[in-house]
Amino acid sequence: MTVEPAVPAHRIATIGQAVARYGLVVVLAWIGLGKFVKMEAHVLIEHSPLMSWIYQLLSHHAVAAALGTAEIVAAALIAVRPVWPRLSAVGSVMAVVLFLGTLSFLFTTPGLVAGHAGPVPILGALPGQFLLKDLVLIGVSIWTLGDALGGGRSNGS
Amino acid sequence: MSRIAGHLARYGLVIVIGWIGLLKFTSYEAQGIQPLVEHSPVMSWLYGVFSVSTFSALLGVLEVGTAVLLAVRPWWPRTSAVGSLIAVGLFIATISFLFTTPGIGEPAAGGFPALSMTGQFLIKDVALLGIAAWTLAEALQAGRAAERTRVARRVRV
Repeated sequence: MTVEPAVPAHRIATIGQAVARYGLVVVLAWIGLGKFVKMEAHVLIEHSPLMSWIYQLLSHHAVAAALGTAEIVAAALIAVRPVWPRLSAVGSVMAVVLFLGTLSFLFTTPGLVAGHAGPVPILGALPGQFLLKDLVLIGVSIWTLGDALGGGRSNGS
Repeated sequence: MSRIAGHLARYGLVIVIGWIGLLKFTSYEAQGIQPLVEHSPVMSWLYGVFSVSTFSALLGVLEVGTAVLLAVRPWWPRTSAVGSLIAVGLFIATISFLFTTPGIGEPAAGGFPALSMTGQFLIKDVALLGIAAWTLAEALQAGRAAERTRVARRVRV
C-alpha cells in the first residue's frame, strides 16, 4: 500500500529554494547598491564595540563603499551557484559573516528597544525589526553554503 | 550543515514572526503599520471595518499563531505545513507594500530604486518568502514520511 502525494512537495521545495537563494541575492545586491547612494550604516557601526574602530582608519564614505562592494560581490557569487558552485560557497560564507555583523548590531545599537509590553521587548520597525530579519537570512546563507558545497563536490567527482 | 541551516532558518522565522506578531498588540506597532495598510488598494478597506488597533491585534493573533504552527514541525508536520502556508500569504502581502506604500524610495538618493530603511525592511521578505515555501515543502514531506511509517506499521500488524 502506498500513500499518494496530495501536493507535489518537491516542487514547492524547489520553488522555495529558488526564491530563498535569489531573494537573498536581490536583498544583498539592492541594499549593497544603496550603500553607494546614501549612508545609513554608520549609526549602527559607530556604537558597535567590535566595529567602531574602523572609523579611525576610514571615512564614513569609504566604509559604506567597502560594505556595499562586499554585499554586491557576495550577491553575485551566490547567484552563480548553477554554474560555479564553489564560488557560490565563497559568497555564502561572506553573507554569513555580513549577517553575523548585522545581528550583532541588535545588541550594540542604542534605541532599538522602544519599550516593553509586559515581558516582550518592543522592537522599533527601524532598525530593530529590520535587523531581526537577518536571523532568517543567516539561515538561508548557511543553507546556500551547504547546498553549494554539496553541488561543488558532486560536480567535482 | 543543511540540517543546521534548516533549523536556523525555520526557528529564525518563528522568532521573527512571533516577536513582530506580539508587537502588533502594542499601539506603537499598530500605528507603525498604518501607513503600509492604508495605502494598499487591496487592504485599505480593512480600516473601514476594524479600528487601527483591532486590525493590528488580529494580525498579531494570525502571526503568533503562524509562528507556533511553524514551531511544532517535529511533532505535527501536517499542522506545521498550514503555518507555512499562512506565512507565505503574509509575506506576499508585505512584499506588495513595496509597490503600494509611498516613501519606499529614498528621496536623499534620488528616490526608487534607492530604498529607504522601510523599503529595505520590506525587501528582506523576498528571502523570507522563500524560506516559508521551503518549510512548507519540508513539513509536507515529513508528514508524508510519517504517514508511510504509520501505514507500514499497520500492515505489519
